[in-house]
Amino acid sequence: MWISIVSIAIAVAALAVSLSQTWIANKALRLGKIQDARRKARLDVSLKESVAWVPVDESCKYMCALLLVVNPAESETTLIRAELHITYSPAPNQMLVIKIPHEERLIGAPDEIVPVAIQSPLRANGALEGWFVFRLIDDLIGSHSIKDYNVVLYDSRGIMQSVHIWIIKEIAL
Amino acid sequence: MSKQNKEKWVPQSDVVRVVGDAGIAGQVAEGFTIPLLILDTSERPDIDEIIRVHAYLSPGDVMSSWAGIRNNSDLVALILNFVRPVVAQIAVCFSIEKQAILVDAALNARAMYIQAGRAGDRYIHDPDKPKILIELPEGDFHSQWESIFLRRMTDHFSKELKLSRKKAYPVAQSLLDQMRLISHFQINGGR
Repeated sequence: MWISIVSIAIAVAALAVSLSQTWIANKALRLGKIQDARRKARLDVSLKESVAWVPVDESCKYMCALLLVVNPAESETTLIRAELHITYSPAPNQMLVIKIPHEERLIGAPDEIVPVAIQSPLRANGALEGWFVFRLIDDLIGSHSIKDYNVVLYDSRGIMQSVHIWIIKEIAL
Repeated sequence: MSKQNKEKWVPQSDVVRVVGDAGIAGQVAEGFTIPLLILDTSERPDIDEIIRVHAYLSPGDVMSSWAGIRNNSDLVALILNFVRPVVAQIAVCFSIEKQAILVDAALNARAMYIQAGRAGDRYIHDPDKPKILIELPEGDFHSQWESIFLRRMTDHFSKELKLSRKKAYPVAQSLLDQMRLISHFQINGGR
């Protein structure tokens, strides 16, 4: 009788130890995956606001995106290029992508819009929030129909990340 | 045409026909003659756009590569991958027998102009028509071009003039020398 009870008690204790080992192993795996993700270089970009305006006496339009750029990796990096990619149709059944570079000098901009400097360093696990500004000359796209706008950022590790710009608030100066 | 003999498939729709050509020597490329290609863009409105938008934006990026054509020893192709400001790819084929001078001038100047047009267009019709200058960095093809040309033209003369290859080779070499009087022409020593 006592032998059976002791055997069951030992079996239950062994099961408890085994379950706790499994839990510890799963936790270690989860931590390992998080650390791997941190080591893997990437950029996370999110859109906070987008505005556009037409400067007085200028035949162009400025399009700006306020972006939060996060470097969730354990390596430092630098933003080396920012472009606005406009997909448009110059002819029936044909789509083209035109790349407009980021402008660091602005004409007639609202005071709160200060363009990000390219190249901007991004520390490991750091973030940067700033305005990315693009100048569209009136005749550049002309009357062609535009399909979409994407801001594309490039960093010094060779990573490219884009964010789709969809609601653009027109502001008057 | 690289030493690794890499094969690349280019869609037929990327191949653009050359309908006119010219040579322009001036203050660009140290005064060397730069070939101008007038491309038939009737099926490629994107090329019209590439040339048009260059007037509004800073100089763009284009990657170039030369290639041979499988089963056609008379053709070499120039593949241009436009990266910015507009994304596009075109391939231009040159007959070694008929258009080698364009290839030779482009390799010598390391540059080429392209202009949009239609069959019958000539540079002289409108010298101010928009065109873009494409830089062609030196690659493996530069060192191979002369032997490709001589091999092809030796075959050609051997067949057309019914000569042995040994006798046809000097004729091909002479043609290359004659061609280079024009394709390597440099104005004012580049100044």
